[in-house]
This record gives sequence, C-alpha cells and structure tokens, in this order.
Amino acid sequence: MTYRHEKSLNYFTGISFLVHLLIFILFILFSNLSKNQKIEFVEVLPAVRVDVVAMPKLTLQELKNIKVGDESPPPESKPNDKGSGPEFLKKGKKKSLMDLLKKQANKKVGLKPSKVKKSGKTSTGINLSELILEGNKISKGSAIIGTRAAQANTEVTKYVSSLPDFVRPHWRLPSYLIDLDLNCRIRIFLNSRGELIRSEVFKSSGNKEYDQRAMSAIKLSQFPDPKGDAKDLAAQGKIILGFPL
Amino acid sequence: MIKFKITLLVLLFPVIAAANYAIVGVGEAELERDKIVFQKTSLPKDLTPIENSRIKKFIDTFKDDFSFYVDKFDVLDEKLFIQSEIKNNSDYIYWINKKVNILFSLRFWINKTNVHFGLSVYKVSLNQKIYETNGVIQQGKRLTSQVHKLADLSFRKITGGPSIFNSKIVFVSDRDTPAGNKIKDNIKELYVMDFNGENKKRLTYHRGLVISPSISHDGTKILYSLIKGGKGRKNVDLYLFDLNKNSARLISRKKGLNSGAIFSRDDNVIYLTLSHVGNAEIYSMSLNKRRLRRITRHYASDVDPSITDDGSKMVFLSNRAGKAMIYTMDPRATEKDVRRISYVGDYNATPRFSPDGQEIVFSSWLDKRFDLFKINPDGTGLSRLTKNFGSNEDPVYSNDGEFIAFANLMVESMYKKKQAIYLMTREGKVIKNLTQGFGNCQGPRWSRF
Repeated sequence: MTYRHEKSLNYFTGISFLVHLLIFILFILFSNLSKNQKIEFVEVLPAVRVDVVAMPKLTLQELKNIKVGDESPPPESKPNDKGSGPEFLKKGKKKSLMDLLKKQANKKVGLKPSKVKKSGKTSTGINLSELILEGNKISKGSAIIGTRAAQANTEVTKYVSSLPDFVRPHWRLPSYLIDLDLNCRIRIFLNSRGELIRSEVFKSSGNKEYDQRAMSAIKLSQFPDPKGDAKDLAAQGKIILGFPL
Repeated sequence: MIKFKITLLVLLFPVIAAANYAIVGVGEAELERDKIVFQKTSLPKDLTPIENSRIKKFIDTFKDDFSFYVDKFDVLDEKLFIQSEIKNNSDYIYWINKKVNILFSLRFWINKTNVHFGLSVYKVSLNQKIYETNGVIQQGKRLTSQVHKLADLSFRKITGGPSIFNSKIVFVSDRDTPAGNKIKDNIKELYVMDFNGENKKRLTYHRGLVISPSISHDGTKILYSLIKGGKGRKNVDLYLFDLNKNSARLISRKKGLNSGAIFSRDDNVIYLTLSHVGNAEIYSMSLNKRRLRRITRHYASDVDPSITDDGSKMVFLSNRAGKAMIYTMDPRATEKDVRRISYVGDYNATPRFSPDGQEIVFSSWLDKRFDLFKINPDGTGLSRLTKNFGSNEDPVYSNDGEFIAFANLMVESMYKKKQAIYLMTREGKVIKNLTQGFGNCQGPRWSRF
C-alpha cells in the first residue's frame, strides 16, 4: 500500500514535471510563433500625420504663398519601416498581393462630393455623372496599380484621359462663377492632327458665360494627335469634355 | 428622334470600343480675376476746372470702388488701351485679345450748366452690353453717393450679387475729445462712415464712453452701450439711435451690464447681455414691449451674441470651460443645443457670424496680442487671418461677406498707441486703414445693405 502510494507520488511528480515542461516548451513555441505571425501577418497602414491641436501659426495668406512643391507630402508607409513618424499597426489575416492591389484600386482619393452633381440627365435619361472616367474624379494621388489599369493602358483611353491636361491651363473662372457649382459638357471634333474642327455645348450649365468660358478654354488648347482607334473617336465628335466633371 | 446610346467610358478598352461617347472631366477651374478697364470715350471741350474735377471724381470713385475687390477684379490703367467705343461685335476682338473682360465705357457732355454722363458696361466674354444708364453728375457728397449706387448696380449686373458700395460702418472714436483732456481715454463717441472710410459723421455727444455699437438690418437704427462720464452712477446702459430722427433714447438701464446688443433679422427683437441677476447672461428683448426672454442660464458668464439671419443659431462667448471659449446654440429656447466649438486659445473674444452663417470670425489672445481667426460653426476649419500686425480685435463681416473690418492697435511706445479700423478680405489680405488720422477708433459694425 505504501509502495503503491510512493509509486503513485513519483509517478504524479514525473507527470507534473512533464506537464510543466510541456507548458514551458509550448509557451516558448507560442511566443516564437506569435512573433513570427506578427511579422508575417501584420498589415502596415499608411502613417498618419497628426497635427498638434493649437491656434494656427500661419495665416491663410502665408499658406497660400507656400508653393505646392514646397509642401512636404505625408511620409509614405513601407512595410517594416521604422521611421520617426507615428505608425499604427493592425493585426489581421494575411492578405495576398492581389487583395491589397484590389483594395488600393478601389480606394477613392480626393473626392469632392459637394462638387459632384447628382442630377443632370441626358435626353435618354442616363445620369451623366455616371459616365465619367472614374480616374478623373481623383484629383491627386499615387498611381493605382492593378490588372484593370494595365488593361486600360490602351491608345484610346490614354488619349482621352490625356486631354484634360491640355485644357486645364486655360480653364479659368472669375470668382462670381467659380462659387456657383455649375457643370457643363462640351463635345469636341478633332482632325487627325489633333486640331479642333468644331466644338458644341453637349450639356449646358444654364449659365451662358460659364459655357462660353469652357468653350474658350477648349479653343485655346492644343491637343495631341489621336492615334489608332482614337482618331475615329475624335473625328466623329465622340469625345465630350466635362467642366469640371 | 435621334436616340443616343451613351455608354460609360471606364478603364477597359473593350467597353470603349463599344461606347458611343467618351466623357472625360477637365476638373475644377482656376480662379481668375476679371480685368476691368474704365474708359472715357467722349469728353466735352472747354471744360471748366470745376466740371473737370467733377468728372475726375466721378471716374476715380468708380475705379476705387471696384479696386476694393482685390480677389475678384484687376482694375487696369485705361491709358494702356485704345479709347474706343464698342459699336459692333467685331469691336470686342480688341478687348478679347487684351484679356479684358469687363469694360466700362463712360461718355460725358455738357447741357446748359449740368455735366451729363452716359455709362455702358460690357462683358467682353459674352460679347454683350450688360448695363446702360445716364444722368446728371451730382455735386459734393451726393456725387460719391451717386457713384456708389451706380457702381453697385454695375456690380450686380456683373456678378449677380450685392456689393459693399452702398454700405456704411458705424464705429466709436475719441476723435473729437478735447486735446489734453485727462479723461480722454474714457470719452468715445459714435460715428458713421462709408465702407471706404469717407464721409465720416459724428452721431452722439454724450461725453461718455460709447461701446459695442450695432446697426439694424434696415440701416435706420443703431444700438450702443454707454458708460457715462463725470460723476454719478456708473453703469453700462443701452441706447438706441434713430438715424432718421438723429436722436438717441435709452433702451435698458438694468443694474450692471446692458451691452453687446444686436438686432434680429426683422429688427424687432434685440439680443443683449444683461447682468442684473448677478451673472452675465444673454437675453432677447422685444423692442416694442421690452419683454425679456432668457437664452443662456449658466453660472459662468455668457456674452457677445451673434445670430444667423434665420435666427436658428447663435454664437457667443462663455467661460463655462474655465477660459473664454466660443459656443453655439439654438437661441429660440433657453440653453438649447449648446455646443462648444473652440478648444484652443488662451482667451477668445467677439465671435461674429458671416452673413451666410457659414463662418465665424473671432479674435484670440496669442503671443501677447490679439489676432483674428475664423472657424466653421461646427468647430472645423480653424484658420488664422492676421499676424505680426499689431493687436487685432472686434472683427465684423461686410454685408456681402467678402470683407472683414476690425480694430487694429499699434503700440508705438509706452505712452503712445494708435487704434484704427482696417479693412481686409475674408482671406486676411489687409486692404486699407479706414480711419487714418481720426483719433483712436474701435468697435466697427457693418450695415447689412
């Protein structure tokens, strides 16, 4: 009885030791695993610039005088970048590169909802605001990389989406028109040399001067030569420029 | 009926191939200042010096008025251009090439003893005459008033909105206090002037300290508080000045503060600060029956109300947070929807709504002086307007919301200081000292017409 009792004590002591050893090993393994998991699965979100809340030091006039190029852009985040800026780490399940690219491509950057008109239908009842190149809603931002963008890299799309760059330098409005939140669309006809043959108001803003200024901006613009399929599109007057959208 | 098939141009080439129209947005336009030229297309010969000076004053006042809108217009020297009247559409080409968009064409002639004028305003971008009028040039102060009215009518035709040209500013000044008066600092009277600082006129002769004036929306009445000079009861009493009758009457003389009064949109009710209950609180008072309604009820002091035109929102100053901070609330009931909108600044003061109710301008103590800031009614968009320009207080928006008048204090030495009323754009571009050489001036309030 005593032997059995002693055996039992040694037995349970051994079991206890093994269990504790196992717990210790598991703890070490788990902590290593969780460490590895953190490195592997952490999604680094873009660094956030937090401005100190206080009375502003610079006046509006001073801010206006700061050239756009002088403005230091918010630091871009890089995985495992341990920069000086504050970073916010978020745990999550591991995402594929494709998922990340999709997420990036679906991001809406610099949208101005107040300026986007929801009304304005064509004679066919189609909402014109839905016919806008999605990319043109983005005022400024980093390049969107993805399979769609790669597919879109065609002559026609490249040509059409390049046109605003030629019109924008001439697209100016006086203060009494700029605040009115108007929108007009001008149809343009270009020859094979990119010269403007004709332009006409496709959808009026309702303000004659606004439409006129949009037309003037087009007349002052020098467009590049359309190539390939873009040539037909331009010649047939199937390109419509939206002011602003 | 021609059927249009409009297909969305997306980033896919196959879709483009099937599309009938490709729409691409150019983006937001850049702001452009309209170039303006005032030209004299005909001038009578053998003008007397007086007639000549009247014509010069007529044109100069017109040009000066438009020059205030520095963010909207660029008034060019007419000598740089050919003086020719627009008679047909081809005449616009010259001005289009010169990038002039607004052309004022002025003609003058003599009929008996009167100098007549003819005014045509052209909008070159539209190839259109947008305004035309003629009349007899007035004399003296009536001449400037006449030009302000014409300038305002032209401005409305150009922009579609009102200008500041007919507006007035009321303010207080120690200008007429006798020199050497020992209590000079305690004597300030009420004055009124045109928006550009001209035609200043003294209104009161209290020999006391007039503070916080406010002009009614119809421009016929001014509220102000007075601390009487000399011996006797020292109280901040509220007065109403009638500009038509040129006389003042006492409105409220409750114990303590009766100040910071402003008019409601219909001018029948006023909002003011009273402290007869022992603590400064904001009340509304009907001007007819003097019936009081309490708007704030708090152990802290609540002062300086400013109300939106629709009467749905009030901004005021309160030290309920321990420091003077800006709060908004619905003034139609007591303590309704009170919300703190400023969280920074050592001491904030005189918050004032813009006419459209979209902005609040206020002063704040920073770096041992007051500077002007503005903020949106929801507490966002805090931005600074003045810096390194003395101490700036008492801001007020113009009737069209494009300008801000404020009191600027420049300390030249321990014993010498100058306080003047300045005008700046709503973006903080200082335009003019309106009260130069007119004593120490403060408390500007802009008329709403």
